[in-house]
Amino acid sequence: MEKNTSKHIIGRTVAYIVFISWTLITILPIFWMAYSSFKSNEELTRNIYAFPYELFHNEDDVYEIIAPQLNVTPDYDTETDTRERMIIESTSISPGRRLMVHFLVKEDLPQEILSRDIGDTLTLSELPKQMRREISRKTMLFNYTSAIQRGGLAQKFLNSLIYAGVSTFLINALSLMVAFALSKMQFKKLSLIVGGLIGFGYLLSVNSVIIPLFLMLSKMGLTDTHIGIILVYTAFGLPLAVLLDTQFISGIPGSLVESARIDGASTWRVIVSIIVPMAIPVTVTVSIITALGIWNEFLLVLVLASSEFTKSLPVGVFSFSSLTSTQLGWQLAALMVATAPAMIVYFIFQRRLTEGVVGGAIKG
Amino acid sequence: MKKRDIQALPTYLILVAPALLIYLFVVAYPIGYSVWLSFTDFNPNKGGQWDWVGTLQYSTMFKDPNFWHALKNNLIVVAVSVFGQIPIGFILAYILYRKKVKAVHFFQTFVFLPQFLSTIVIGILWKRLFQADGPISRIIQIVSKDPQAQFELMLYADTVMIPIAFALIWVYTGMYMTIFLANLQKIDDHLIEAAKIDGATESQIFLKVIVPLLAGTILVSSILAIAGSLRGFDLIFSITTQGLQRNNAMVLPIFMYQSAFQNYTNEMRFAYGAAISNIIVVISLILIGISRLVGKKTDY
Amino acid sequence: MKKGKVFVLALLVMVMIVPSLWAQGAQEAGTDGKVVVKTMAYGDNSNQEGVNWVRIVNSFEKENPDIDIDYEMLYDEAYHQKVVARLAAGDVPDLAYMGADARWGLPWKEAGQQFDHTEFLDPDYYDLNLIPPMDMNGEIYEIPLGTSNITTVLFMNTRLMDELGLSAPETYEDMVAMVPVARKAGIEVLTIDGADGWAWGSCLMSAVVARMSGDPQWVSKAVAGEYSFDDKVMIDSLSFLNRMVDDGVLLEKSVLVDYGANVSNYNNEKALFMVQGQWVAGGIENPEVANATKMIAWPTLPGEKPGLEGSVAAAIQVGYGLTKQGASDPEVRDAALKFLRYFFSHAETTQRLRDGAIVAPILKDFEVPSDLPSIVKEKVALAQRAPNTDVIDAFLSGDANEALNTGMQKIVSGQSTPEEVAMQVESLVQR
Repeated sequence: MEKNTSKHIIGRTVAYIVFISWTLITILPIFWMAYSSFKSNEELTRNIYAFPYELFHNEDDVYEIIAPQLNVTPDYDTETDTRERMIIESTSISPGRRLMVHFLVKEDLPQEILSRDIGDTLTLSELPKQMRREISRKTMLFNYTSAIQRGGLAQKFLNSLIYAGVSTFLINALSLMVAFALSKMQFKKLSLIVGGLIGFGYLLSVNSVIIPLFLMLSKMGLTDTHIGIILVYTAFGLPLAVLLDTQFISGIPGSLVESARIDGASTWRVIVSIIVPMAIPVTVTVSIITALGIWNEFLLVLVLASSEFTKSLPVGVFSFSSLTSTQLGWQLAALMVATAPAMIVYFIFQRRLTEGVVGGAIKG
Repeated sequence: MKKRDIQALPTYLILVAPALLIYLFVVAYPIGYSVWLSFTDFNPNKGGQWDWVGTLQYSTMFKDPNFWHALKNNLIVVAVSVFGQIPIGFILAYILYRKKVKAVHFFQTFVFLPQFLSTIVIGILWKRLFQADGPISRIIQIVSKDPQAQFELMLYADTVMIPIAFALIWVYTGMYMTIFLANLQKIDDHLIEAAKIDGATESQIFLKVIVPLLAGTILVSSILAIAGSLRGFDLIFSITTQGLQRNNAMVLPIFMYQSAFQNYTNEMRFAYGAAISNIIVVISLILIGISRLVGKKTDY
Repeated sequence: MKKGKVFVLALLVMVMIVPSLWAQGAQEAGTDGKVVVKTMAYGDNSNQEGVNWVRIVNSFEKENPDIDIDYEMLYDEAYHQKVVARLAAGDVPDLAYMGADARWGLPWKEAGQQFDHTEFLDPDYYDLNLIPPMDMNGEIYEIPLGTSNITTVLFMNTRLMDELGLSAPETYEDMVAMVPVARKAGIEVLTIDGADGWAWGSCLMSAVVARMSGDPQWVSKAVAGEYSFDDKVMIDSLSFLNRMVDDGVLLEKSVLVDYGANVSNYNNEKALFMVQGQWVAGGIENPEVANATKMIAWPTLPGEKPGLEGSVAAAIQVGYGLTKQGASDPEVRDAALKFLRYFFSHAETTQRLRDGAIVAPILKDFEVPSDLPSIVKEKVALAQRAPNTDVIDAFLSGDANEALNTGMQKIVSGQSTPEEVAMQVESLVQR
């Protein structure tokens, strides 16, 4: 008995160590990514673990007054807003690269600053309060605004949402129909063929047929369209969905269906009012697994999507990490943009999601 | 009965047709195409002229050391998935199930969390963590007190799969853990109580009661894991830099991608790429066949 | 019940999303009556190239409402991948970022899409003497962004050098002598983005092999079969990597440094020298470092044959060119040429020069502004004084090039010998 409890304690300790270190391995990189995404490029190399400092302590930042140039793109509408501007560029954030440029409305500036020439400098604290505050805010969020605007991440986020949402909906609707036919209608041989065909698809991934797929879709003018991409996601999502749905619906007593039939319900009626409500657990499972897969998918969109209109978030994020990119801070901010919404959704619906993943669908 | 069957046929077809059509169109046609392509020298850039070349692509592939290297790595990934993710997931689930730790939900949440991060994000983030003088190297430098120490596992063909296996386990184990946990929770407590009364030890309960009850779940999970691991592309693609690292960590899908899209000097590169993807499908068929067989054996 | 609610919620979201899908589809069409030039542009959200491209297209379209530059902008691997895929699918763009060499030109050549621009280039606008011939009969397949693209530059931080009492190296041995000094100061002699395979070939070995052989065209001749990649010259060149590691000039850990980290190391004064191509000059953000930077060719190497002192490897600049497909429709062709002229306007070219993106413009009677940043002047000076040699991946491509690049990474990390790598490359060369 004595021996047993000491064994027990050791087991318990080991269990805790495993779980705690697992949790730390999950949390620490994300935590590092989160705070590092607020660091300037230089800070990121200088001290890899330090907390962000430069972008937040910006009241003494020095700016240089620069002449209007081709590569200085105004951030306001030059046609409707004709007020004169003074263009200043940060001397600490990517100086000379026109990445941190502000257009100050001259009429809001004090005379003393207006008298300075191109090439002169000014510090942030010299500016009127309103301007100072705005620039200070822009400085803190520099990585984020740059990543989101230059990467067009908002549009890509929406696209990812569309792909995951619409495809998941179609997959659920179609696979429930097929699953009902396979498990509740008496065409054994036909069902075997249909089930076998679709089941085979689980072994395939988009990337093993990417070459012919691309050739085919471009002949039909479906590359670089939302519909083309959704179509592919739907087709590749079907095998698993049909498998899980069929398994689940087979478990629904046939007598339920029969008695509804006797009451004169059509097949559609049966599906909509009996099968669908009962199949909600498996639908949640299928939705989570497929939506997650599509949300994260990379290669298909990389190959099929050409324009900003159709690219998804992973492709957008990857563009910040290409071989020759030098903006490490933007890269981390882009990673955060891709991660944060998913994590927020996860933490809000965590319990339902983890339970939903199984939903009783994958059975022992 | 027969008559009703025939009456129901149109309904059956209507139910099955939309899914089947989309599926055949998007999946089956390219498969057929890919099989055809692999026996030709077709290159769409060459204006539609092509010849049968028999099994040339396949014999080239079997002579290519990169193929065997990629296959070996791929089998490592499969092994990590089947013998890493699943047992670890099972054990973690069992620990949670038997309430060996408190805060079950807290831990479950964090073990499952990586599922929700995009693989590309994980790849890029870990690449950053692994780079020269990066966060991991810094820790090694501090611990070993050697300011030149680096995290070098990504550099060598022999060791590159270690960090990748680690990442794979970290990302996917949560899924299996959750599946197992849900099924464990369905087990009737009385079974365990009864076994305890019979004097069974904790490990006996685990091996004699729990594992057999979940044999089906283990099998299904294994099939999911095998199929998933033969397709893995994103993670390895984004965690490695192009060059030595990616070549060292090459798995079949990356080998296919590089052969078809990057080796311009091979005029038959598309056909070659198609042959590689066909082999990936065949291998996963074989592995899943094996796992079914093993599954059946252990049932008796 | 709660699950039911979630389901209903999901349905609602769906209903909201689906219409937006079609709305966007409608936006995509809407180019009726315009001449559409399908373009593949090269650039990225986070670099000047990409930002400039967007700006130029926008202002061009504003001035020419009848032309639509319908572009797809990609960078790096994604770009190459997409070129292959689009060509394979017959979805050929009218205008694209392309080159004429093994890396940038091969897919276009294979698809038969290279188009000779010569007769369409206004000789009063472009200086045809500055655009190198790209094929046997002097064809011009693209308008290069600049005259030549120097790939093997040593960026030298003179401020650090002065601080440590060092002067510009004349020979490799001078660099070796810097090792203890640099180490004492806690910095490195040389930083290179060794995690990227291509950097070894493009930015280092191209210079080394030319120097070792004394033949500026060694690489192209080797690809043509005149030399072989397992010749002593190649083995000696690869052995030089070992020597650099042994001497402490090159650190083994370089193989773990990627492009961004490399530039960042140099920027933060963690190394005296940086190995990269001329294009990175605009990416040195620290103004103190940029102003103190001298761009030099490699000093005399041990075992170097006479005749190529101070030489650098340089390739024909990549640029924009029409495809056969785009040139086949006179309307599209003219629109594309008009756009190119706009793209290569004096103002834009000056800007490109100023940003450090190019070495020298290819425009007729171009006047170099006197107020260029010092690093750009450095670059122009280097281009004027340094003889040019072949860039490896302009001639060697595919598996052979890949084997060479990864082979060098293996040599530096002690996993392979120069002989092994040379043999492997030779076995993979397709002649």
